[in-house]
Amino acid sequence: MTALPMANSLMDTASTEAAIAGSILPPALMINFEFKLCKGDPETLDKAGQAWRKAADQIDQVNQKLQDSVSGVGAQDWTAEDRPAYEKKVQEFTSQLQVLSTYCMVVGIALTTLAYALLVYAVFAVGMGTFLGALAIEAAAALAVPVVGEADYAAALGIAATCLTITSVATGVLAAAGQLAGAAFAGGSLAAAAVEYSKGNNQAFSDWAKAQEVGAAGAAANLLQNAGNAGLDFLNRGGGKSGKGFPLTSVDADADRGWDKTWSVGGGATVDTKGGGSVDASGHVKVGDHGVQGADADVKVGTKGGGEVEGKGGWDEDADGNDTYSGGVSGKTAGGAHAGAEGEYGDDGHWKGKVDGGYEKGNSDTSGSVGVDHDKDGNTKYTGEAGNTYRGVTTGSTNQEVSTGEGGTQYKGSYTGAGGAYDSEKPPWES
Amino acid sequence: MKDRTLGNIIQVNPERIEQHGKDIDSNITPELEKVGSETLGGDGVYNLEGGSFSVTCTAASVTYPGAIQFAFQDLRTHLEMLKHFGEGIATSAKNYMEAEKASTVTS
Repeated sequence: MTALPMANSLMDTASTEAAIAGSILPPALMINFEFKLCKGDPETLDKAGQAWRKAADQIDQVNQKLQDSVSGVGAQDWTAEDRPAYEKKVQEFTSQLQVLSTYCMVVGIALTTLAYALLVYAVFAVGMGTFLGALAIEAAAALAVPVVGEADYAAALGIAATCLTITSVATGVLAAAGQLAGAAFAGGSLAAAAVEYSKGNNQAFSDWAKAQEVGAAGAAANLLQNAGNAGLDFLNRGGGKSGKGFPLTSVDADADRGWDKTWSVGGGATVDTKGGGSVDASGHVKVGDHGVQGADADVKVGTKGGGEVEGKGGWDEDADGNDTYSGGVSGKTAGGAHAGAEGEYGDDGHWKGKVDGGYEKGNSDTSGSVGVDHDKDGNTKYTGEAGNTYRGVTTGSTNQEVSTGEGGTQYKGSYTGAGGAYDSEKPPWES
Repeated sequence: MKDRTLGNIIQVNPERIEQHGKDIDSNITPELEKVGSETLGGDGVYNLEGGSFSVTCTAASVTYPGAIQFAFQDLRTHLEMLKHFGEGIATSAKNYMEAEKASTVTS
């Protein structure tokens, strides 16, 4: 367990403290602006870093397996002169892959290092925010005293200005960490390409050039997103949902190309409503070799009290050209009730639907759902489940499942709770 | 198969060589492909959001897409190489088998 998941709430706390202090001490508003610019998602960065390091290990394993496989062909099984030539090719191959493995490890370490740099900044920010909060209280008290208090307020303002300088230095350190990571990503890949070329990979430089060409769209999307959010962060330096800020709080831009060479292009925005709620809206289009192969949209409306309504829909075309359409709505009230419904239909004949609902009150959490899943071969499965927990301990639960299709009708059911428990495959209608 | 025509003894076991080719196709290639399709191609890795880096670290967020695409391109190139290895080994094994058959018929 790391502290990385705490970083975002630390940054939110720091930002709120600075925004409040900013109403008394203007330099705190600029400090809040810097805090907003330095809020990332360290946990996600670290997870990506772990994936890159896992990729490095997997590549090493592939290398080992290939070498074992070649040496597994016994000396007496292949003494012809084409063997040394083949072994040389394999040797070149594994040494090139070793370079890629090292590169993956470097990127993985850079991502996790950056994640911890963001966490360190968050710890600094919450300390600075708390200090500014206390300073603002003193400054407000000084302002309340006519004439005499002015000098004290001026002193507090001077300290706040020093805090801004300190924050700018900390922000600069984080920016330097970002530049180091950027150098590892870009410079590292060019170095990897150069070393691979020296080890016989004639494709290395064209692969690098192609990667930069394809990656440019993603880079532009990230630049656009960050530039847009920088402007919005400035407009919202006095606070966001407090109603003092600009209604648009963040934007998202995506242009990502996956392993299957399919592009996902889209974006989203978060808008704060006057009543203290917010609206998140996003949409993406998937573009592959056959043109547009899918689309999705998601709109979420949150209320000040914690209520939420979400609707989403999508269309996806798989590699065989089959279309699947999906949609869903869900909602929860500030009082703890939640309900949702989702469905999916594919032109290969499959369809499914699910409805769920529940209620949380105090230490008690009750929920249930029913679903039906019809596969393309004509088999249908009906499911139902319900349960209750009290202080995290299950007080009762039941699962019921009926399947119909080529294999006839099958039943599976279980229950635990008041009156005992059962776990049976004998249908109740036969007892 | 043994060839003593040039004074050197050449020993070849075509079945064993063929087995190595199949090992490349069915065991090694899928594992390398998985690095791209699952590990680096997973959600939150290949499509890491620019915002995850923070605005301050934009220098990292704009270079990251190039990094992931380089890894993808390099993996594809090496998968292509593995495919050639597998095909080449299969062809060699087949040629040795045919040569063995021919020498058996003529002797």
